[in-house]
Amino acid sequence: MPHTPPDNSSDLTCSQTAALIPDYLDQRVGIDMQDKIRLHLKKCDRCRSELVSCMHSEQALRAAGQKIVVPEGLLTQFTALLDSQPRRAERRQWRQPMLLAPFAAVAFLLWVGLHRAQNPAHAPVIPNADNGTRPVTLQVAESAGPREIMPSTPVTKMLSIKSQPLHRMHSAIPSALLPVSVAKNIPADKISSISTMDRIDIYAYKSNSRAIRENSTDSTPDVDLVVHDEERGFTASSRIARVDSSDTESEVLRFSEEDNSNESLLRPPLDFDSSGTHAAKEVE
Amino acid sequence: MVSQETYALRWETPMKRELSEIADEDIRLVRRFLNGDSTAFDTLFLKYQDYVYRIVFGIVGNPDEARDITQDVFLQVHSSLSGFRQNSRFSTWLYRIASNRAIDSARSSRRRRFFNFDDLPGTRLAAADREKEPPQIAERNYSNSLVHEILLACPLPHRQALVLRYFSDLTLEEIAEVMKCSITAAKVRLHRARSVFKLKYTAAYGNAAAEMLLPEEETNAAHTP
Repeated sequence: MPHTPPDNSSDLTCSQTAALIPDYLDQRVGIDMQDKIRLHLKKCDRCRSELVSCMHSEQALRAAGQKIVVPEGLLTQFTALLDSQPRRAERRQWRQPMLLAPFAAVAFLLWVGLHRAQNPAHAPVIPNADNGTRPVTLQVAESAGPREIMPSTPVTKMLSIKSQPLHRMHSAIPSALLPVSVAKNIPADKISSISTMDRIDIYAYKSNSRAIRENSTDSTPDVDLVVHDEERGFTASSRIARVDSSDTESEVLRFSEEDNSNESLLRPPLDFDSSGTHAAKEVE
Repeated sequence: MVSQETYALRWETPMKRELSEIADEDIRLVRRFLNGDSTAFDTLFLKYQDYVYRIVFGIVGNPDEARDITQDVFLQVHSSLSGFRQNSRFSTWLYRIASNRAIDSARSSRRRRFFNFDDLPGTRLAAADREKEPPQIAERNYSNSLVHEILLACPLPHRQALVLRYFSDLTLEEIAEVMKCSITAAKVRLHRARSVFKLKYTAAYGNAAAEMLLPEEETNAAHTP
């Protein structure tokens, strides 16, 4: 369409009218200006076309906005969503005390350790030499230093226990029980053997010699192993129970009637390396 | 250059008074809610859910997403209403939250972000329809989905301005308040948004349908205050 210029200087130009069209459509121009715009639009096909184009696009936008269908039940869904929020908050509140759980666990373990220290019946159990079916109970003795239990009688045999199982025994004794020392009530004549390996003194103590004497053919003694680590200041005794003499291959320790003599205290020499628990062998 | 006109038209005074009354009512509802009356928030929800949904839908263009964002907007309002400064208008605060959330969601959507206007089915259809008879074009011009497609092809700031103006019927002052800018800046942004939309709209449908739908005498009559 041909562009129609304004007739005189008081009329609006096309650029002025185009700039005012949005305000004109928003009814944000004064009455005088509205008259001027209308006057220009009557004369100018191009600006009229521009106005119509603007009006139509705006009308299409308004119509599209009015046709938007708001989904039903928004408030109901929102209320349900809102109701779930406090529950989440409650869960968060419950999570905060859960942060104390590690401290509670540590406190519980400490309590268990102290409880076991006071009650030797709950002493730690180490799997036995061959297949772990026979327990070895560690007992903590009450005594002064290890030197006090050094035997006055000659040491009959040396018992060597390899370091690996000793470390296992050592680590199996709860630290809450330390420091401990060998019991005063272990008579020196009951000390059957002493061995030193890796600065660990091992005292083999026969605690049930009477039973052995009474049942020499089927000796099933209970044997206390007193372990002392001088470097670490650690001393503890272990009881090896229910040693079956008939099964010599699986015996850990076997005492004889002559365990105070110079004869072999422990036989046969066993090496339980393959079992992975602890090994003992007789040494001279 | 055109001299500055006095824009204080006679009809603006009662409208401002009406807006003020609405704002006062909103503030009363907010205070009731903060004092423990949960039904006050339900009233606010029912009052503004349509506006919020239209804003969000206009920006994101997906009804399911718009519904979820609307819920999130009211959830955010519910939790942060205690921090609402009661010297400002609740409605514009709500619209600001809604439009910001919708813009964030639209930005995160690559599909809409890189939407190509030339690939619009409406564009191709409209180009083919130009040769057809006018009533069919007129029907298509008012097609809701096609207008939305064109709207989604506009840049986000333009889309926001158009939606606030035409979907939620906000005034220029309210748009400026929602966009946190001056009235002049809001006016410029809205003007640019209109131009962009009109360009795309005209490219899609042409002026023929517009001229058919809006004869000159109707056009003149529509502008009488």
